[in-house]
Amino acid sequence: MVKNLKIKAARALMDMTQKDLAEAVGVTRQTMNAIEMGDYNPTLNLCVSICKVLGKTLDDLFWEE
Amino acid sequence: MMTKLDSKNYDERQMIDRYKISFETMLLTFVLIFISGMINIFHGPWAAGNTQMMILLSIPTSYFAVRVVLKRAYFSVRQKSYAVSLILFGATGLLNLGNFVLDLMNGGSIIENGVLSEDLFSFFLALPFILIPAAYFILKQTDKNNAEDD
Repeated sequence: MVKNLKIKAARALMDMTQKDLAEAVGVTRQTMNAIEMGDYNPTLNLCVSICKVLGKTLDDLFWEE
Repeated sequence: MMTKLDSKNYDERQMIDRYKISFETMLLTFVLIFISGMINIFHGPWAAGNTQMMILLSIPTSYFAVRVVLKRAYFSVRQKSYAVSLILFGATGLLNLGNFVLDLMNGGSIIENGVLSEDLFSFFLALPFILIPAAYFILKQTDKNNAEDD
């Protein structure tokens, strides 16, 4: 799987660390890291949670061109 | 908070890893019970009754515990500090290990009448309790080394 740099960029825009985002959506920092590194494919529920916290849509963060 | 997942203890990645490792542990338990049974049938007992039971419990438990610690799926999302748990595990393990060593020093033996002795019970009881903090320590050291490399 490819790295998800969009989450990292959106997180940086909101000045959030991986730990902040992980706590906001109720997962461990390691899980958030695995998602950004492309090592773990999150469920739709988690994707939606991440989008809500970062104020983005699913397309913005998870759609691959 | 609306965006939080429902899981009370583990997040979804941790749950998936725990399911996978649980299945592997179940297979390992079946294999060990099968091997133990075959030895019992064709060769006779290979360990004292309680020791045999403890070995068949301890090895799969240790396997599960170490694998989930290394996959970062042992401690729950809500657990903020692992130190107390790790110290308690380590202390329990060391107490049982101490009991095993004392038994050996007081004339106990590992093999008695050609089978693993009752004295090994404490050792196998201690095994998972010692391996959990050890695995966590190795994980932390690896993280530290990786951070230094970065």
